[in-house]
Amino acid sequence: MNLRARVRSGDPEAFGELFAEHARSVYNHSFRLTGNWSTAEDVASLTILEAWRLRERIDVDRDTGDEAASLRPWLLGIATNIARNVRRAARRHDGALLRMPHPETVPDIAEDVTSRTDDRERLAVTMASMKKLRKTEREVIALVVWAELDYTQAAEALGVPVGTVASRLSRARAKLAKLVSSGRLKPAETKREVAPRRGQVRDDRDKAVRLAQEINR
Amino acid sequence: MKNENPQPSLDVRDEFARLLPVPPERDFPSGRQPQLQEFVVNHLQDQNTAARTKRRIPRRRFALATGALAAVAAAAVVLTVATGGGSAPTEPDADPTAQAVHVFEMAASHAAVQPWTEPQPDQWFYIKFRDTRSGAMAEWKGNDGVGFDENWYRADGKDTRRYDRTGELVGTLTDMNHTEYPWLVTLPTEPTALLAALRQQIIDHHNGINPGRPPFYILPESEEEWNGTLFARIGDILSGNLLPPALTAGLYRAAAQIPDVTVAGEPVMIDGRETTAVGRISNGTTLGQMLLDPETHEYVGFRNLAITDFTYGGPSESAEPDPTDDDGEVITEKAGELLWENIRLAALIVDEPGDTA
Repeated sequence: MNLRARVRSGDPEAFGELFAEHARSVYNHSFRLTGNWSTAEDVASLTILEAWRLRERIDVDRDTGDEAASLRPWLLGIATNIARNVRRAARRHDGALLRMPHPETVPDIAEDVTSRTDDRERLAVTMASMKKLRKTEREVIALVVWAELDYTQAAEALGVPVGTVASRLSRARAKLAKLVSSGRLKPAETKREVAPRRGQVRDDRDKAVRLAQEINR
Repeated sequence: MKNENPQPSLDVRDEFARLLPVPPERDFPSGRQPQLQEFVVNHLQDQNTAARTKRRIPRRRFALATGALAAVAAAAVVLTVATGGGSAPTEPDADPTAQAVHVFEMAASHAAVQPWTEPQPDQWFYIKFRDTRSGAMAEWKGNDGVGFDENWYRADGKDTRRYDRTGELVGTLTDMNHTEYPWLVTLPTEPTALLAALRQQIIDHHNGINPGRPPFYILPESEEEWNGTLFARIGDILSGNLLPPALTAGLYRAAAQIPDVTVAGEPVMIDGRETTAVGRISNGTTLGQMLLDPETHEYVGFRNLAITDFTYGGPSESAEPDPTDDDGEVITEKAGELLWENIRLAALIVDEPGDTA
């Protein structure tokens, strides 16, 4: 049985594999929606618990090839829903969350910060700009632009028509362009490096952005 | 289906990248991902086991106008609605809030004089619970029924054990929030300072700083939410730990400082014995009650009751209309339903995991 079918049949190990495969993507997506890394951890775990609850909705027959069979868009959709109202999702899974393990270590937030001011500033600008958009616009940016879903996948993830995804995206783009032209938003500088995309080799940016989590709350 | 190109052109992403810096990705903090993964898999395995072994329990309902709720002054509005008229408390001259302070003070002064031998770092706390869930949400999640939980936590906080599905005693990450003994004993015992420290820990946790291991709590957004969270937090600590007498006493006195805590007018029967229920209403919908032995003043358990019909995810939780609640399912708890009951059956210090005496 492939992973998709095993997930649908409720095999707990399959959910472990699902988590291993997509946790990083879900975690970063959740951060972009909530602006808080701790919350993003919780959303990532809740996403798998919600996936378990909703597993029977998976269409096993859709298993037609690698990308089509990926459950990543489905998980990102679940994470998006949870990020809209973490409180409610937490309430659904209250028993589980009371048992959720907590991190072993106190993060060293001072570490390696000065050399990474670029990243911090970049993130600060992004999160501040995102706040000027509607929630639904932020979601399509996070899904289509950053998580690199196509319109169909994003539409399925959000449970809206494809046209809605396209129109939200174009409205968001227009708003951002207006903010830039009015000088209220500094345009992103010319890229000095390839934008980090999914699948990029792990680098050491992580710690640098920790401090930035405070900016959006 | 229209045959439009579903793939956004690269231009779209590039255009956004010019307008909006692409946020850098990061990994989970070191070791966190496998930890959460193990937790999730264990939890789902437990769900599977629970679904297979659960026994149907008779639905327990509590009449609103009598019993547990009659003297909960804060529920007066609910009572008025439910009974169609004013309902006199069972003891008209007693203020249930003052009674709660009294009950907690009795518990504190008894706890303070209990004998106590500090456990060795390699000794274990053995805590056994009976956990009962019922109501619409429990049924929907499939975890309604009665379960027994036996857990061993090493006193130095470095290890935990419980039985897995095959009956083998295994280490587990899923109960780590109870291995916070080393942190708990650093807490102040003076109630005001203790409340402040518990509050700070939840804030720190939210900010990614984790002294000790608090259970998961959403950061409260109002003093009312803080009061509910701190009351539940004190219940969790008392339930999941054995603590030095001064700290146990401090926790009861801290609970007494939380506003709107009241004593139920009638005792709550647990396994044929009377318990005193000291409770607090959250969100106007649920009553969380700490159950104490009226004679020994010891902790017995905790339970949650629905005091009014309510649905999950309703407007009280989110100001915005929420299109995500599109399950087509509205889960409604009924007033008087016992949602959760957690009774501590044993709590002692033992030498080895697996020991129960």
